[in-house]
Amino acid sequence: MSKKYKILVVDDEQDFVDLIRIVLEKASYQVFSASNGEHCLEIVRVEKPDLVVLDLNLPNMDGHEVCRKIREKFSFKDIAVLMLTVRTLEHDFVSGFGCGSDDYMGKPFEPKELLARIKNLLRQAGKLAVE
Amino acid sequence: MSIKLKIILLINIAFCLAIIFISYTSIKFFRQSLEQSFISNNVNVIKDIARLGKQAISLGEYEELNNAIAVLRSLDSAIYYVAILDAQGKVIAHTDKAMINKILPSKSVFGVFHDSLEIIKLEISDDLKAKDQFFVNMENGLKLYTFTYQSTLKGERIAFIRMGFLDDVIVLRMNKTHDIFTRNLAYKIFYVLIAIVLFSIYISIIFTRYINVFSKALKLLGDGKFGTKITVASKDEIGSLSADFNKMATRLREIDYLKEEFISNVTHELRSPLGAIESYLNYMIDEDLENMIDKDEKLTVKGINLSERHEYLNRMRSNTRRLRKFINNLLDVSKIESGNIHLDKKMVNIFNLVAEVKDLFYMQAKHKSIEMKIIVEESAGYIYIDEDKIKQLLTNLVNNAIKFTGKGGEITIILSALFHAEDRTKNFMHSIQIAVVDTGIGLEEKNLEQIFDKFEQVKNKGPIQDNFDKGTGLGLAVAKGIVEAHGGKIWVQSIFGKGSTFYFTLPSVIIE
Repeated sequence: MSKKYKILVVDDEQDFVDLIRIVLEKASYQVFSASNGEHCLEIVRVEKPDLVVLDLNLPNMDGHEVCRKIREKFSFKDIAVLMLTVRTLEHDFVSGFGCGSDDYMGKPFEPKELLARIKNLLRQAGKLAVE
Repeated sequence: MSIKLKIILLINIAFCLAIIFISYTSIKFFRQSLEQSFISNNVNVIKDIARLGKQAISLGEYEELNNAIAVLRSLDSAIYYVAILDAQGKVIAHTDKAMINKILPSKSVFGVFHDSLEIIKLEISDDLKAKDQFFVNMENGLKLYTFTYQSTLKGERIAFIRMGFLDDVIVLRMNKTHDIFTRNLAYKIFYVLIAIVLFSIYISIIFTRYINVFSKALKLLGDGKFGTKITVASKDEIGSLSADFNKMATRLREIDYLKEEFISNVTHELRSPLGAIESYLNYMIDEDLENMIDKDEKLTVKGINLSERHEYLNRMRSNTRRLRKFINNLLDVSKIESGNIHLDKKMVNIFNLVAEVKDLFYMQAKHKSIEMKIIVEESAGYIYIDEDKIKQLLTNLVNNAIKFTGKGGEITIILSALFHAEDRTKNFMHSIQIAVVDTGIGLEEKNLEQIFDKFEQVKNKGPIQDNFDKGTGLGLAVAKGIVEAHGGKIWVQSIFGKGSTFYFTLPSVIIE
């Protein structure tokens, strides 16, 4: 991986943020983190990450809204959104797609799955060559 | 027997007994008063005759007297004879002309010598205490009611009067009056009885209406509809009962709401940290695996080597997962119970769904040498359901089947379409039925009923492998909720020791 992809992790629970950071940095991604929606949009504006790992349950502004706000300015090719949620019922995921997220994953997650999904999204966005 | 019937019977029996008693006493009283009036009427008649007799004797005109009694007799067919004797016992007037001027022994005048059947003492005359009598006797083979009377003038006996009434005529006459009275009474009783029956039905309806209202409301309450209210406008005990009921229902709803809130809050609060724990464990297990492949397995950190560590972490993860599963089920149950279950329905190929679920268990089944197969009895095609929830439900049933089936067993999923009797084309399929048949330990008869209840787990668990296999006691409750939310039914048949079959149906909805 020659270029370091920027990934923004948004979760109000520090434990998750830390774990995802460890996993992603080990896989040579450049990781930013935010604990709420406003902070997330701020970093998106400044850093323009390649991908956002977005938790659905956030204080004040929830994941759907954050996602919609990102989509107002950026397309999937710019920023892919991977939604993370503890809710397991399907309709939450479906509404997640409705707001413009590109993939979803349940919490708790398997680090390998997270990496695979991120890779897949980057590939789809044309940023990563097919191995 | 229903309360309605009981009230009707009770009222009717009570009133009937009262009517029987009243009519019996009134008939008896009427008979007595008939007899009484017969006697008192004729006492008056005999007094009149006595007055006439006094005049006639003082004037010596017996002819008139004879005419008078003849007229009297012609007026009343019950009169057998009337006789008037002077103080010496000579007949001075008699309805039988042949008797006139005969002298009768004085004893016979008073009837003492007759075979008196019954002598009733009567205070007939005002001026003489004794000898005036009314009695029943036999004369010439006829039963008679006889009245005797002594006529006096200035303390001197001047005449005896004696009248005989034919018993059969009198009785016949009394019976006639009696019959008319009874018939009238019977008519009235008949109307009263109809009124009572109607009244009792009315009363029973009033009472049972309230009972029905309450039982309906209680049934709703029992079904978990805690908002049920009763509106009874009456201000009596029933009114206050319904007010109390409403109070209880409101309280129950509050408690239920608190419970829902509590479960929802607690489970959400529990899920986040558990999710974090599990995610970290996932990471550690993955890393360890890589290390175990890359490096020496015997690498030890403070006496625990890598493979041991790996196992312990796996155990931690199993338990965390079990906890997560329980919390998820709990949340599902509370969603189902509060009616918040959301169905995201679409047309789903049911065979594919069943096949997918079967594939999920490929490894598990292989591990226990369990043969799994699908039998399609009647092709069902597409059905309008919430795919994920039905998958969750079927997964649950198959998971149970595997759990309770020993090595080398067999699990069969039978898919069949149920049709309306008239037409066996796909448009007339009214539901599909899926049966999960296992050759496991089976269920005891007594457990079949409550197996779908919350926290209901059968004690004798059979071949369970490890902790992670332990159920939450909520799986089947969730399954039931999912099936019922789709408008279907779920039930189980089992032979203890031989295996169980879980059936569920999903109604087919035709979308235009």
